[in-house]
Amino acid sequence: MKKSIFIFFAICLTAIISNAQDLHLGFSAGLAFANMEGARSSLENKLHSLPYQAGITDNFPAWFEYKAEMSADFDMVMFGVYYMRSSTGGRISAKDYSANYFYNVEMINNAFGFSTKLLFDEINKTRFFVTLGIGQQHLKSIINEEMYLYSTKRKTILKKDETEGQSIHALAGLFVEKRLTTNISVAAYVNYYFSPFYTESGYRAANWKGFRSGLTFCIIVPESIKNYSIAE
Amino acid sequence: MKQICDRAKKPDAVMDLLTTIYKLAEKKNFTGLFLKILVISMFLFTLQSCDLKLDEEVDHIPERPFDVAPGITDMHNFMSLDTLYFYAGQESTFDFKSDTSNKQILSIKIFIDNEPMKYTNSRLKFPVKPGIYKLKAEIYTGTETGSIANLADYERHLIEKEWTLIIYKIENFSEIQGKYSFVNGRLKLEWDEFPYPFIKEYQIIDPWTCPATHILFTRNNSIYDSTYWGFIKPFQINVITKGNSVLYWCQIIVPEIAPNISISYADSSCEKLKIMWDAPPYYDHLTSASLYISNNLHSISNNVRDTVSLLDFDQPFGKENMIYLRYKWKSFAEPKIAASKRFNYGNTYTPFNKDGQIIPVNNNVAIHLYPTWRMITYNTELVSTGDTLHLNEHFMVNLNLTTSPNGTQYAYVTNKGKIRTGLVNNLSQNIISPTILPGTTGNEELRISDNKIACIKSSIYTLKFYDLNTMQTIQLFDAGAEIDKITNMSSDAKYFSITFNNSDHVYKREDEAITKLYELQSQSGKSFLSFNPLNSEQFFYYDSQEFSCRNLNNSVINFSYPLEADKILHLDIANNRMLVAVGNNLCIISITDGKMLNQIPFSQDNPVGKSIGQNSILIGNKIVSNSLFYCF
Repeated sequence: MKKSIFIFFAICLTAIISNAQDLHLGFSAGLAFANMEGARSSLENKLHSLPYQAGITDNFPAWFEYKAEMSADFDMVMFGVYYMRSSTGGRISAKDYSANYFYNVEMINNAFGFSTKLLFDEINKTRFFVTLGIGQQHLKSIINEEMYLYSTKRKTILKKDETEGQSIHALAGLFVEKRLTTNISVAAYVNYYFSPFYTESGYRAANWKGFRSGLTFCIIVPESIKNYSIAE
Repeated sequence: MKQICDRAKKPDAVMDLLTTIYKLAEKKNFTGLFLKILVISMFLFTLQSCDLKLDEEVDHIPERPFDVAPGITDMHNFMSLDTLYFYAGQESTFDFKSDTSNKQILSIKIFIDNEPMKYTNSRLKFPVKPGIYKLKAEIYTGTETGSIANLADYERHLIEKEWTLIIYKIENFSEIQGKYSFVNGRLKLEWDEFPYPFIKEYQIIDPWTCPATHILFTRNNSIYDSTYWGFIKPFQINVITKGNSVLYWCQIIVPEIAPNISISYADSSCEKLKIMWDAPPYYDHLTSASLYISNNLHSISNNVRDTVSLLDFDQPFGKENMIYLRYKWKSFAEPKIAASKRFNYGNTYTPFNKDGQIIPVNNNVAIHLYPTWRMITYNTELVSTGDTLHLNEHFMVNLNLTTSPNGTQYAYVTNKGKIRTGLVNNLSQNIISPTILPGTTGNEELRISDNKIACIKSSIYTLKFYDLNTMQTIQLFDAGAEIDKITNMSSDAKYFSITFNNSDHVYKREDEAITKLYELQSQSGKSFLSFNPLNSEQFFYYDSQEFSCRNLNNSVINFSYPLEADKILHLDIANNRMLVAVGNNLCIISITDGKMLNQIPFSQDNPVGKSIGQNSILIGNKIVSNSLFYCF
């Protein structure tokens, strides 16, 4: 599966680059507001099952999202591929004179896919695009439950578990780009990310749907690599 | 958003590396390309380093509360001792309990001479080599602090206990024995004595119950057990040392000791059957013995050393019956008692073939007349057959067969007018007279004396006296009236009595003449007259109102008393009693004073009642009447 998806993206990329006018290399950083309702519920259940007093110190908060994107610019439309990585997590913590307990659930989403940007307006060299994307997401959850006993100065690993899953994701949003120089532009984006067919339960059911927003720094490689320079 | 990407700020070494790479690229004029690589690398590094880090902790840290270790108990109370004694190689329960429910024991470690021992399922195997060891137990219990470690079962109290462990051995341990015996009605158990001084006591248990039932403790090597009464019972003897360890010592199994039950074979037909059994050796604990016959309680004896019970006459007993002897709830059956026809036992029975007729002769003998012209003697006590005589002559059964007063002679008239006579106890030794009554039918009445003088009714008016010794007619007697019946003849043939004109007439017979002695008016045919075979000068008479004993040669009445009887059936003069029929009862009455000795009800439905006839006599403790015996 992974192999066939890689081949698919390689073919697309080759086709785009071979016909494009400019090549945009975008590097984005932003925030992912993931829903994570199933994971939150599981963490609540775990908290209630503990025989001692504990608290949730992290409950799958919004966290940084990073994205790398390569697109071919055809003026009215851009086609490209992207890779996104986002993470979040939950934690139960308990601590007293006898022991320090925690229960960590780390969630990592690595997504890559194919995007299309459709230009619908341009004002003062600022271009407004509608973004559509689809691709695969690779989900990983790491559970680590430990107790450190002060009396024996010994750490007891109660549970260590790692699960992975894959599914399709899609995104739709707005992309605004301002070209600063011939080779550099900056952009901002707001996307809505969702996983249409992902139905698993527990922490693997971490539904990553939600808004993503961030800023993008783009390096524009002209049609001929010889014309490339870092400064205007 | 207080979480920040920490790691991105930290890696100075990485930044140094990137700077170096940039400078190198600048020298080689690959600055643009390496800038791209640099930016991508930084981006990827940032991606990896800026994932969410989960390291927040709660702030609440309570103080440790005061909590003490729980007390430890054990089933053998080892915790209270300092020295323990165990047999070499013995495996024993070594179990401990916390006295606080919330501080249960979580683990136990056992050390012998500081060597950890295998301790599973609360059992510990001790060293096989005798000697003195140091035994140590580390007992970990839970706490009650409510802390995280406590609630997660990681917090412990440690309780330590040390003992001096003495491992001992006994020579010939496998040959230790116990035995049982009975002393003064009680079970006594004895066993070999434990050879060491550190014994605390012996424990006796019943190992067949689950759990084993404790019976008692004793310091002696013998006990009396008053609870045993016949059933199989095991006793296990354990030694309890001063270290509270328990050592299996020996086992004594007392088997089921059932009484040997037997039943007597009666010699007499009217002797009660006797059931006998052995007195139980464990009588001390028993208060009664119950005898059951076919699940029906027959009798209860409150003295268990009484070992005989008599069956009542009305108690049937045969093949289908089983005898049980029951002490408390335990029944002991005796299935080996073979039933036989002698066990067809009851107050009435028919010892003979019902065909024909039984004629009682005396206390020992009855004569059975078969319709097939056989005459058989029976010993009435042993109920066995004697001689058999096949009769050639046709005669009417019982009509003219007679026996002498002492029962030794018999005689009857044949259909050819002859008299056949012989000894009752040897029927084949008989003689036959010449024809005495030509043209007779064989129905003529006949009486015979002990000295073989026959009196035969030769016509309706006359009697003929015939000497069967010499086979000669010695006398004729004309009564002058129609003779109803020859009622009796004395044993020496000197006296005889006949009935005519509703009167009983007693005559004295002498060589020259026959003299009338008495003429006694009888009423309603109930009169009875019998000469006394023990005193030839006396006779007994019943005139339907009064019974009397009179002298023959004078008018002296020796005794008399009023008697109400329908019929006098038999005088048992030797035993001073007589059998009379009164209403629906048979009565046995003392001859001399008329005192009632026994009364036996009967009716026409009763086979006894049906069989009552002229020939019913008393023999021992039974009435013999035709083919029926009745025991009383």
